[in-house]
Amino acid sequence: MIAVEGLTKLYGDITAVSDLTFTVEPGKVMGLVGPNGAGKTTALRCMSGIIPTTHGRIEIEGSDLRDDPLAAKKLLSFFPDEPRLFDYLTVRQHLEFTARLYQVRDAVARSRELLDALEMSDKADALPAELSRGMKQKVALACGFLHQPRAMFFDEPLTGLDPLAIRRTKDLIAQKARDGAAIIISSHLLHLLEEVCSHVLILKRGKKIAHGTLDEIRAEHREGGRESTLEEIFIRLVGEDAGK
Amino acid sequence: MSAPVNALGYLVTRSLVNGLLSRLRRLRQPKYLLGAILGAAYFYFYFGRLLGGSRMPWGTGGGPAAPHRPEIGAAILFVATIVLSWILPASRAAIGFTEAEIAFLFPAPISRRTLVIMRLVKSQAALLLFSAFMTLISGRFHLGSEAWLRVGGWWVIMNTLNMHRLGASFALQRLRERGMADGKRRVFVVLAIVAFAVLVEFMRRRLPTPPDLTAALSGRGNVMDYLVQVLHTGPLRQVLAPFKLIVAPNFAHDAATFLRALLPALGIMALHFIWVVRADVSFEDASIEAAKKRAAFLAARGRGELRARGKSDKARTPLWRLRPTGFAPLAFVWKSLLKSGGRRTLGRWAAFFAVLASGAFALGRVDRLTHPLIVTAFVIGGGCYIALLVSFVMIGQHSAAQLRQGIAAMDLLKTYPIPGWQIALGELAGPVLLGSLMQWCSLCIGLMLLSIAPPLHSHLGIIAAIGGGIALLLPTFNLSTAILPCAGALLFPGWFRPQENAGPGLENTGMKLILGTAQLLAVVVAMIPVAFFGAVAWFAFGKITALTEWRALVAGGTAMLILAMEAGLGIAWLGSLYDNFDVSSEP
Repeated sequence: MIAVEGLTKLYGDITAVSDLTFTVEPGKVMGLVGPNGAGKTTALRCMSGIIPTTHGRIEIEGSDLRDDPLAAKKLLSFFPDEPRLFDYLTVRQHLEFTARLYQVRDAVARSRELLDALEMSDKADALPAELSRGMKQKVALACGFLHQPRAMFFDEPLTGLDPLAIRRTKDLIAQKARDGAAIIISSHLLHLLEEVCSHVLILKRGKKIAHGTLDEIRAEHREGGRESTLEEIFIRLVGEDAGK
Repeated sequence: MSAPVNALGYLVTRSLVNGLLSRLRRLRQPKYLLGAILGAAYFYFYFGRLLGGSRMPWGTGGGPAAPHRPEIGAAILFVATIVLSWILPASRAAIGFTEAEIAFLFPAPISRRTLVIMRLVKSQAALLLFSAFMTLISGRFHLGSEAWLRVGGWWVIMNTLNMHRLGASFALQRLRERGMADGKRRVFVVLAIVAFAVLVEFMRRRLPTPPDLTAALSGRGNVMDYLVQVLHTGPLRQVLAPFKLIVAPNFAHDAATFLRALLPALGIMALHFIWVVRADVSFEDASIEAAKKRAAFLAARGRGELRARGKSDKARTPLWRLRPTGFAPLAFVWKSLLKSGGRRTLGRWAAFFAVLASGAFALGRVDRLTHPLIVTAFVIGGGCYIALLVSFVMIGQHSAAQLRQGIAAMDLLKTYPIPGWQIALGELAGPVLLGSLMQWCSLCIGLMLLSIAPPLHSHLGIIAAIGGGIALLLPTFNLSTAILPCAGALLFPGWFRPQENAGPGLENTGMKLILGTAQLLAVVVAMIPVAFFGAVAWFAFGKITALTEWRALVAGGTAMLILAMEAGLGIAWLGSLYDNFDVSSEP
C-alpha cells in the first residue's frame, strides 16, 4: 500500500506539490494526471524517495520513507520517463547490478524469466547503444520488476513505445496489480490510463483538484446526463492549462 | 553498507572492461585503427620525453637556497583553494552522479551516507589518474621509484581538497536552509579573514621582528625569499602548519620521509572523510539538476555545439525581418545571426569594438604617450592580433561545426526545395560573415595602434594599404578554409563525429591529428595560386606605378578574386556533396 499524507515540495518560494493526501491499496492502479508542470514528476520522485519532501508523510507498506528509508525503498520501484542506462553494462549486467543493490537471492532465474517475458533474451549481452528506445524501456522495466516491489511508480511509461510494446507494458502493469502491487502511473495518454487505472488523481499547479475511482470521477463530472470520458473531464478541469 | 559498495565495485569494473572491449572491437575499422596508432605515437612523443627524464619547462626546481619555498607555496595554494570553496559556491550542494546512477541508485535501498561514500570511492580512479598526470607534467617520472611517492602525495592533496570542497558545500547548504543568504555568507568569510589580519597586526609587538621589506623591494634582497621568511616565521607559520602537513608527502625525497609525512596527512584526510559522511544534507535535488545539465552539455558537445542551451535562453531579436520570398541562403544567414545572439548580443559586440576603436583613435592623437598608456596600447593591440591569428583557424572550425549540426538535421534539409549549393552557402555564410566582421574590427584597431609606434610614422600609407589588402582577402579566405572541414564532414561523417559515442581516447586524438594536418595541407595548396597571382599582380602593377600602396591594394584585390573563384568552386562542390549525401550512411 502507498499512503501519502500532506505531501508538499517547495523549491525556494515555488510550490511544486502542495498538501497531497491519498492512498493506493494493494492491487490498485492510480493514474496521476495533470498538465505539464503540474508537479507529477516531482510528486513521483518524492514518493519513491529520490528527492526529500519538504513536508508530509509517505508510507510504503507501513514503512515510513523518512524514518526508515531503506526498508521502504526495498519495497518500491521507480520507472523514469526516459530509460537511463549505464553505457557500458550489458542488459544482463544491468540486472546483475540491480540484484546486488536489492540483494535478490534468486536473481538469475528471475532475470531469465523477465527477459523471456519481455522478449529480450536474445539481447541479454547487448550494450545500451545497440538497443532501440523501446528495448531500453524494457531493460528499465526488467530491472524495476526484479526485486518484486510492492509499490511501483511509473513516469510516462508508454511514451515512445510502439503499439505492441504499449500493449505488453499495459498487460505487465495490470499483471503486477493483480499480483498485489500498489501502482501509480503518470501519463498524458488518458484513454490508455482509462484501460489500466482503477483510480485517478488530477493535479493542477501542484494541487489535487480531483481524486477517486474512475466511476466516481465520471459520476461527479457528468454533463448533460451523459457520462464523460477522462479526457473530457481533464480538459474541463484543467481548462486553460491543458495546452501549455 | 557492503552490498551497495559491492554493487558499485561491480558497476565500475564491468563498465571498465566492457568499455575497453568496445574500444578494441572498434579498432577493426581502419579509421579508428589509424587514429589509435597516430594518437599513441603523439602521446608517446609528447610524454615519452618526460618518462625518459626530461623536465617540462615549468617543472619544479626547488634549489637548496630556499628549501621551504615550494612547500610554503603549495600550502598557500591549498589555503587559497579552501578559502574559495567557502566564498564562491552559489548553487545548492550537489554530488556528481550520472543520470543512470541517479535512476538506479537514488530509489534503491541505499542510505544518503552510503551514496556519499560510493561517490567518494568512485572518484578515486579519476583522482589517481590526475595525480599521475600531475606528477608526469611536473617532470618527476625521471625520479624512478621516487615518482610514485609524488603520485601518493598528489593523491592525498587532491582527495583532501575534494572532500573539503564537498564538506564546505554541505555546510553552506545547511546555512542556506537556515536562512543565510549567499551574499551574507561571503561577507562573513571575508570579514573573518580581515579580522584575522587585524588580530595579527594588533599582536605584532609581541611577535618576532619581521624581515626587512625595504631591502627586498629595493633590489638588495629577493622578494620571494622575503615572503618565505615571513611565512616561515611568526604566527603565519602556525597558521600554515596544518596545510603544510597535507602537502608535505609531496615533497618527501625518500620512502622513510614520505611515510613519516603521510601519517599526519592521512589523519587530516580521515577527519575530512568523517566530516563529509556525517553531514546529513539534502543533495538529491541539486544532484539531479547537475546530472541533467551535464547530460545536456555532453549531448550538445556531441552535436558540435559549444554549450548546451538552457531554459534561461531568452527569445532573441533578429537583426532584420526576414521576408517570405527572396534568395534562400539569406534565411540561413538570418538564422545563424539569430543563433549567435541576435540584435542584443551583436549590438554589445559592436559597442565593445566601437569603444576599443575610439580608445585606439584617442591614443593615436596623444602627443607624448606615458608608460601606462603604452602598456594599454600594447595590451589592446596584442589582444587584437592574437584574436586575428586564432580566428584564421577558428572560423573554419566553427563553420564546420555549424554544418555538422546541419548534417544531424539532414532529413529536414533534404526536404527543402533548394539546390545543395544554396544550403552550403547559407550554412557557411553566417559564421564567415560574423568572423570576418570581427577580424576587420580587430585588424582596424590593431593597425591604428601600430601606427602610434614612432618608427612606423613614415610608413603609415603602406601599413594602411597592406591592412586594406588583408581585409579584402579575409572573407574569401575564411570561406575557403571553412569549405574543407565541411566537405570532410560530408564525405566522412564518421570521422568528424567521433566524440558522439566514444568520448576522448587515443583513436580520437589520432583522428583529430589526421584531420588537422589534412586541413592545413589543403589550405597551403589552396593558397599557392592565390599567392602566385597576387605576386604577378604586384610585379605587373609595379611597371605602371611605383606607389607601394596601390600595388598592395591591387595585389590584394587580385588574390581576393582568385580566392573567391576557389570558394565558388568549393561551394559548388559542397552543394553536390549535399545533394548526393546518403543520410543512411554511418554517422
